Amino acid sequence: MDAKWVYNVGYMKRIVPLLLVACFFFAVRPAARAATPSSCDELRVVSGNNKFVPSAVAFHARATDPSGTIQSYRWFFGDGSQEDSAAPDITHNFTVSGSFTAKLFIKDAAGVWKSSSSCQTIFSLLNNPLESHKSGCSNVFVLGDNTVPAGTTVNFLVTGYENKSGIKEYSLDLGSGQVLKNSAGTFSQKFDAPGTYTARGSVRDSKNNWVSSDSCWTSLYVTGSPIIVQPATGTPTWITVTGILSGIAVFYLLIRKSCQNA
Amino acid sequence: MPKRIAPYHIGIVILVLALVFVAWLLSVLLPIIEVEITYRYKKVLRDTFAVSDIRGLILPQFRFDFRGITSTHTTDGITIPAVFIDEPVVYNVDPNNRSAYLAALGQGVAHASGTAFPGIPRLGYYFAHSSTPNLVRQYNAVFYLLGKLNPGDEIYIWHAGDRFDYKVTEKKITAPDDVSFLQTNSPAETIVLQTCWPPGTTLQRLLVFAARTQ
Repeated sequence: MDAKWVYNVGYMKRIVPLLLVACFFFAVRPAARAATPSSCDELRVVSGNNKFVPSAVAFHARATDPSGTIQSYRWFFGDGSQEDSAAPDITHNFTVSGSFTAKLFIKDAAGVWKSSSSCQTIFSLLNNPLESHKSGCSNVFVLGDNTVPAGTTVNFLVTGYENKSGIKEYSLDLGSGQVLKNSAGTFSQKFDAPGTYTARGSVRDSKNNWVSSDSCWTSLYVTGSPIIVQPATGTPTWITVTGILSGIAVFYLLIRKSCQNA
Repeated sequence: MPKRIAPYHIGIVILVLALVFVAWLLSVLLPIIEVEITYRYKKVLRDTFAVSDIRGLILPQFRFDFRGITSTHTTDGITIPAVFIDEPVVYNVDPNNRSAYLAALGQGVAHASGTAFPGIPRLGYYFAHSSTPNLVRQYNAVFYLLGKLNPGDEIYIWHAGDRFDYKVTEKKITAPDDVSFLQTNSPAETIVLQTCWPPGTTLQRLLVFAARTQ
């Protein structure tokens, strides 16, 4: 056998495993990396916490998406207002004091909105003695995916503000005839029936008034078995066929009979 | 010699067939004809005289509002000025439960549970009869006129007292088991109106897609 050929076979024996390892890293690993989900990692107050109102509060967000860049940040400031930005930093002017829960959603490279418990923060603004009484329900959030299969227990968060002595009680109308109340603002409810639910929140302030707002609601989609056929919303075809054939037969028989009589 | 059928029996057969034909005529065809004639009458009034009622020729209160039709179901309803549809909407109807959705279709247009409410940037799915043998005269051909819609026509959906405006973008006829449009992950708020096609059958489905404008 040619010595050069033997040398080449031996060389191939060494190079093939190396090539396989390289293929794994360059082909398989990127796929594995792409499968890593995007996440909202942090929301923190940079400045403005515990200041007297009116005050500008600066927020900073941190999010990761291995498959691309974060397209947008949606900030819920806790006072009922929200804003979208392309940058992970934002400043919001508060005109009411109290304790606020800010929450952030990110839109990842695939266009999916996400949040997490890390992207939620509580901060306070100090009461100005001249400030009049203000209270409101800010937002209702579904903690997790807002599309769930029937039978899932869903967690909700109701946020609001009250600038005198704080919110006394939170309420959540689940849109299914059930109203939940507690003093924490977090609620859990199991949804067995498929449907589209609108959960509306409200808060009881220090004057015992229940207040809500246009922003204090969210939708929840509880899916049943998937639709495999579009609903039948017409006359069953056999009825129309029978009706038309009956008409044709009647006219035929009547004409035939009249011809026979003639 | 072949046995002759007695004229008496032929008379009974003709009577039975005639009854079947008349029943179909009254329950299926008549409502469709009524909707078609009403549509054409209103179209002439609108296009020729710019009124919604013949009395509008002399009385201003019967003239059109600026959008061409006055909505009456402004809590939960649907208004399609181009084809004079102005009907109530029953929200959260299970499209997999035949008895549930037939009950809802007796009250107007059904919104499929698990699909988006107006105002949510997802797909909302609405369906109604194009014809039905049920003797619920008011709603048995609600969506018969869907086929006359064209891209650009306006649709208003009322939900909890708020109005949401859409414009027709696309119209297509599909097989009953084609539900691929439900899996489309549209970033914009879209609605699809569905009915059976051709009217008087359940052979196919007519889908009208519309995108939110305001």
